[in-house]
Amino acid sequence: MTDTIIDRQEKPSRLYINRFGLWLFILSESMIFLALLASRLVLQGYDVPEEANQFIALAITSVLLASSGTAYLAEASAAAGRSEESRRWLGWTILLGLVFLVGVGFEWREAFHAFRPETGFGTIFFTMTGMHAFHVVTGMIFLGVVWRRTKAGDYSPDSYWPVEGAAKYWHFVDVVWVFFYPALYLIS
Amino acid sequence: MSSNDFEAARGRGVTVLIVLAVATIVEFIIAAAVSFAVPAWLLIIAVAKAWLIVVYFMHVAQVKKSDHD
Repeated sequence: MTDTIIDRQEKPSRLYINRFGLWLFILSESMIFLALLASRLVLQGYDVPEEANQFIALAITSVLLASSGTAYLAEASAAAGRSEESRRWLGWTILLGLVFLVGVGFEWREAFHAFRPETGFGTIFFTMTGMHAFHVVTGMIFLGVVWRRTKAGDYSPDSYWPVEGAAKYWHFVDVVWVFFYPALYLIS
Repeated sequence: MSSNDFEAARGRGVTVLIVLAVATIVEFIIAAAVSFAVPAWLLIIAVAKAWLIVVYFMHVAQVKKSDHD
């Protein structure tokens, strides 16, 4: 008997494996951020120091949301075979990510004097924003590689998984901030 | 993806982005002006925003599909 059950079943496609694998990775990364969120509430409750800069926080939140929009458009453009447009939107996403990081840098400069890292809220604040910023940096590296390969014409409407994967990772980074922003700045 | 599909996708993306922006402003206003059950309101809005991103931007339903659509 050469006709086995495995032979008769359809093997999962490469794209399905990629997507499933990425979602599993996102799920595992979520555990880290959930733990940080939980520790914020357990250690500091709903306290938010008055010195927390609400203006910068709202501004960088808006920038990150906008970057999620541009990442979406980059993926949609790649799916439609519009390489040049996709590359442009990827560029905008990276630029907005950079603006977000600069904003975080400004906030850290103020926060370092207002609630130092050795204080309770300072520990939580710098750990949460630092871990998130690290993921923003890795996301930007990922997007940068994809931007370069888009420029080289490596993708087509039938094969643009790296664009899709990079965009999904970027959206995940945005989802994390959707919870971190109110938890760090608004909850009090 | 056809040109019509792309235009529809773009419109959808812009709509979701506007809804996310409005939700963020509402979040800020609630934190500034409301004194009752603020954490609960913020959690509801955050979950709603996350759902929008996961469904419309991350296309979570696509994970079952084996091809680009």
